[in-house]
Order: sequence, then C-alpha cells, then structure tokens
Amino acid sequence: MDMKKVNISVPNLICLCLDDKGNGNLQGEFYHYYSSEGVRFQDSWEMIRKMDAFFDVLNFPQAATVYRSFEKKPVSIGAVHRDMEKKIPPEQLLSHRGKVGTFVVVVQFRQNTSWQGHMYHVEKDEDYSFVSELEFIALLKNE
Amino acid sequence: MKYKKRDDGSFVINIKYRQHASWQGTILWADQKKTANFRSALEMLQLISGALDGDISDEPVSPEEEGVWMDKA
Repeated sequence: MDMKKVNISVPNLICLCLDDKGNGNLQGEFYHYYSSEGVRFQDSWEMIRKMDAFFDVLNFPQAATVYRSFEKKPVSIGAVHRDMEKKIPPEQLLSHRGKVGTFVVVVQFRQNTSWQGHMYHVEKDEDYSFVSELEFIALLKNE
Repeated sequence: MKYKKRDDGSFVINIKYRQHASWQGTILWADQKKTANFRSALEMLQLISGALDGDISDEPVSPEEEGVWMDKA
C-alpha cells in the first residue's frame, strides 16, 4: 500500500474505520498500536473526544495549550499520561477496514487547541492535510 | 465548587471569529451563569464535556479506563 506522506512509525498512528456517515454523523471505530480492540464511537464529537483523550494518554503530540474549563483554577482534563509500548504490528493495525471508508490518520501537532496533520484514504488512495479538527471532520464527511 | 454530573445543560454559544480553520468565541453555561472563552471548536466541546461531567479534578485514570487504551498484560 503506497501511503505517500503517511509515516506509519509514529506512536499515535490511527486506523479510522467508518461504518456509517448518514445524516452527517460519523460512526465506527478507530484502532491504534496499543490494543487489539478498537475504540468505538457513535457520533463525530465522540470520535474527536476519544481521539484527543488517546493523545493525552500518549502525550503525543504534546498539546501546546491546556484546555480551559468553567472552573477558575487550571485543571487537567482528559486521561493521565501513561508510558505505553506498541503491542500491535503495523500490518495488523492497517488491516482493519470500515464499511464506508478507512482512513490512516497522523495528527502531527496540537496547536491553537486544535489538531494539525494528514491522513490517507485507503479506498481512494488519496492524501489530505488538515489544520483543524473541523477540517478533519469535514474531510471525513465529504470524501 | 463541586458540580453534579448531569445529563442535560443549556449553553449559549457566541462565535466571534473564524481563524485557524476553526471557531473562537464565548460560551455561557446558562445553568451556572458561568462564561468561558474558547479558541477552537474542540476547546468548546471540552468545556461542555467538562461542565456535564461535574467536578473536574486531577484524579488519575481508573484501572478500568486504562484498559480502554491498552491491552491488559
């Protein structure tokens, strides 16, 4: 599989399998190097929240800013950082397929409390870059 | 101040800018009459999620939650 710009050795590589995108809502599951089980999501924002929590656990990419909260004092939101070793070989991680689409996603930076990176659409053999989480969702819905 | 975990809430969102391919503005948590600024749609989502989840603390992830991210050895 020629994935052009995607570097599959990054620790936070995600294989995103979409099973449904009816009514603009994304459903499916995503896989990563640290578990053979996928992480299921029922809507677009659940997908974003769970992926962001995964990056917090990995501390990769390290967020440039801390999220604000309604509390006055700064608090840590999301999962606590854990040291994790890869458990799944790349071939196994990239073997999963979604019913309506499969994307190999690399989030390289978390700047401006947002995400920047690129992804590869497996079925269409195309690369896309994104500079925000909104752009990321729009690409998944439209491509 | 501790907030209870809840399943509903009312928020008023004022989007003021559209920079960095995202949204910036203010969000009012109507039930608690608290306002916060957000710098991206993701931060807005985290604010709403934090409000609904009740008191946000520095508690470590529970062992059950840890199993979400990695196979138990």
